[in-house]
Amino acid sequence: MSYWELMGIPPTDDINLIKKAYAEKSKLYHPETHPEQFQELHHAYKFLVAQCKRKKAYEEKVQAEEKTKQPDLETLDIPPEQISWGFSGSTKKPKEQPEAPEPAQAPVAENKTPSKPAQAPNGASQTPVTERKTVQADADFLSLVEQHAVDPWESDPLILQLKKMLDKKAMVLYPTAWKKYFFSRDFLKRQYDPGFLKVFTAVIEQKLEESIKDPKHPYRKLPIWLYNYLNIVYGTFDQNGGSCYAQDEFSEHIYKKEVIAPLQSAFERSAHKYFDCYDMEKHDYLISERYAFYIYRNLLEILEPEEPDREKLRRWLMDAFDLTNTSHVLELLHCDPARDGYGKRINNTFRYQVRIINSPYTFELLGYLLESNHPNSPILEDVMEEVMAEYEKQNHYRNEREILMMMIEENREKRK
Amino acid sequence: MALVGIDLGTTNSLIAIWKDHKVELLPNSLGHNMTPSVVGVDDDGTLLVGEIAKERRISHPDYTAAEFKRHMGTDYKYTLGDKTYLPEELSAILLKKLIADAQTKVAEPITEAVISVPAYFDNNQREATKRAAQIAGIEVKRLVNEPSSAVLYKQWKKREDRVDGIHLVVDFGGGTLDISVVDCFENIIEIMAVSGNNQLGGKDFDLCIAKDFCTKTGLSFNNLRKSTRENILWTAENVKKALTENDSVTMRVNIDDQKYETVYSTKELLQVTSQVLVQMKEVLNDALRGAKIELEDVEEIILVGGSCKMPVVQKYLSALFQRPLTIDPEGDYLVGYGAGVLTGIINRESEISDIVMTDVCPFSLGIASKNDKSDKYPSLSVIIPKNSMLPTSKSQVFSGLVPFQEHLSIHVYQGEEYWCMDNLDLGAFLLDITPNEKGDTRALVTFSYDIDGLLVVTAKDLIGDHSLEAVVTQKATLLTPEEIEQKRLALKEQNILQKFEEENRRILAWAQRLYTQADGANKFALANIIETYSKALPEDSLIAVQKMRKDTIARLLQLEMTINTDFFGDDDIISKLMDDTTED
Repeated sequence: MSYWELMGIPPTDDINLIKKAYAEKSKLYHPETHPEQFQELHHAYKFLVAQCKRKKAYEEKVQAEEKTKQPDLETLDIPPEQISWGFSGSTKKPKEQPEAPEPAQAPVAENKTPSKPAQAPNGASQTPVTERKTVQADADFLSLVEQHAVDPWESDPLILQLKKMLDKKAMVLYPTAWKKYFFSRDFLKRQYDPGFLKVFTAVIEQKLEESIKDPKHPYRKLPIWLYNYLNIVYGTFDQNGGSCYAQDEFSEHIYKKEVIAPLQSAFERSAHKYFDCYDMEKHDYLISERYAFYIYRNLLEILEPEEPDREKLRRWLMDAFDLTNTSHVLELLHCDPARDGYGKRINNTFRYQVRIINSPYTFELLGYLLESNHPNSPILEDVMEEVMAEYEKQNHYRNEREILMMMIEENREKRK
Repeated sequence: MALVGIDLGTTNSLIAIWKDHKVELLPNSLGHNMTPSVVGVDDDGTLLVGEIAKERRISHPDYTAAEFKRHMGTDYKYTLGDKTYLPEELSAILLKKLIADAQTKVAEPITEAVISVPAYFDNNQREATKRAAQIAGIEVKRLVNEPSSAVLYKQWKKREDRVDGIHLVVDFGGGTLDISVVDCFENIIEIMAVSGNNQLGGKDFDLCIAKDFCTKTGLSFNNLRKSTRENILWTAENVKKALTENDSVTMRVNIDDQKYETVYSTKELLQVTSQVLVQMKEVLNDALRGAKIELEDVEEIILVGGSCKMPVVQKYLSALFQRPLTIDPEGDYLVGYGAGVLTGIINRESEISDIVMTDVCPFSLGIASKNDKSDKYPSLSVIIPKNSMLPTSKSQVFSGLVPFQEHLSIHVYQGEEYWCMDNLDLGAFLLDITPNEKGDTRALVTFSYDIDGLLVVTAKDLIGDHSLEAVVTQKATLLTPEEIEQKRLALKEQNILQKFEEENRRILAWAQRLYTQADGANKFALANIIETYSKALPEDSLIAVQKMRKDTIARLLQLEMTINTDFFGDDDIISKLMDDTTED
């Protein structure tokens, strides 16, 4: 049952109509007599009102901007000189129809009521449907896709753009393009919309299925940054709120429950097939990664600007770690083995943004630090012993381990 | 079985009931709708409640307790004579008296009650209120927030020509300030946000005036005797009340046969009490922020509570909101009436069963957690944020912190501060989790907060089959269930004054209060009255007593006027002089 059905009214943008419907329905499901149903009703009411408000606020913003600016879809597109491939017709299209009134009114309203499917169908929307039937997709996705077999969102410029981007290997592996795509205002606007998300997910799903079946396909797995963006869109890892898909907590709650949860579970189940480091947790990479940053943080404290070998160290670091964002490095680290029974906040959205390219470099680095006799090195030694113990469990890097342990012991004796 | 609505105020309490399609207040044995929230003990151990106790406040400060609502939920102990009482015990005595008086007007036995509490009461304070009812031997059907109650009555009363839109309720009572932002339309009353300060109220104005008075007259407030302090506070309250009608009032206090006086004008009052007003503004800001609305969105402002009657407060509020404000003539009764209307809704009375009122939780609820092992102290992970609609149920996933962690401590806190220790501790539970190498076993923690403010915590290990379900009650530091039962039985047997005797005692208490305030000849006159009246009491016949009572009341009224009048002074002249001199 959609929220509109629960309210017993056709989709509308008028907040007063929603309020009236809510008042009427609340007589039926009074909180004193039907507490459960009333909670649902109240959620629906809050969600719809918030949606209307967002829509209105956005429209006003766009109108205000339009007075000063050109239609902004063009400015948000990737400059053509950077990506000349596969990006011409569809993206220019919105120029003729500025996005103010049309896409803004499009959401939930239409795609939640199956009575109006006739609006959309054109050539573009028919082709993916036939293709999809041949694909053996995940059951959940298939049912989702079937529900929206003829969906007005199919012809949405962003969906078309997504298809084009997924078709070209060069595009898929071009992070800036994805960044621009995901952070374009059009996407941010649409990502609140369940209808859009369903089609969006279906397209990704279908393309990935194709790529896996076909050995000659331009790419077999998706790059990790894409996974990160999708994570944010689906809120997979961001359990603490503060995610960008909902502006306030109540709509976030409903959104998660009604829209995201089914998509997310399907996405999680199939993700290991599509992303080239999803199952890295089983690999020793991840362990070395975690400890390498452990050390790295200590390094940050130890290193002073005047350090003569700073440049060398920096290079090592750059080689050893794929540091896209050092500020998040700190978040990854867990030290102090005190065991006090408190729970940990889960906040590992950035987990995959940093990873070790080559573990052995870490050892080189550690060796350097041990030799440097820095005043902080005793702390580092403790840290390292822990790391070694971890490696020992994994039975990895035996030689390096032994060398380092020897160095640590030597250092300690020297100090005595 | 009758269900009543009770407004258990800091200074005054009311009791109301839904009867014959409308809400009705039930007067106390003296025929007054409002019963002062004051409890005292007589020399023979009899409990005195209401007006009598209030009269005795100055003459017997050590045997009287007032404003105990301010200490609800704490272990603050009031000493009355040789016994000590917790705030909830005093509230229980008051409740007992209210119900006993109301029972004479209601045919069915009163067993259940809706009790109003400040919206900004935290869990402990709510629990204490419930315990008070338990000790008094009644069942709490619902705790309703005072501003919600007021707006409910307003909306019900104006059902024909109601105003749709966002209402702002300012409930500024004797001891608490509560602000609620309410969205009203059709049959819906939706509380959007609440904010408040449960240590700010009319008494703070009195204190400000009293302290200022002492500074001006060269006294030291803190070093005065308790009864003198009570006397000054009493006079300060009267000055505050008089200033609602007059532009300037002379404040006079007799201490040890010495006269002290100062003149207060509205302007001066504004100056003296500005710190209270500034605190009020902060609370208003917080409420509007919580509701995510602008100042212009507010359709109507409802002023409730005694402190809103002060012109100073009204002027300040109308300056803040840039519009004229009117105070409801029924301002003092709104909350009580509202509680009465709510009893009708709970009983599903057909003519108001459509009204839907939803409330919010005033504080955030969460559990202690750490971002990583290096955190020295745990911080609060909010699970149910402030201003969520009730009832509500929310979950969050937490994981272990250290390798092979075996337990997850679910330590529940209420409040808005970052560090757990700055918030209100509601108790802890231990969830066993499946230990693993990385220590990242995840557990789902769910909070269900129901309309009565009952918090149920459920936690589940997402890997193993450990789970936990617990109801959060106040930590067992104050009263155990056995103690509550014991106190309930004790109170049942305890003698609370009956009506006839009550009137007599009230007159005596009144005379004694005047005696404390009076000076010179008046003191002797009062001493005479007290002596004759108390001697006459046990012996004379009913008619004789009634006649004597009448005479005494007339005499006391006369004396009270004498005591409070200045022979040479006309307040207006003095104030005019004061104004003239200040203008020069």
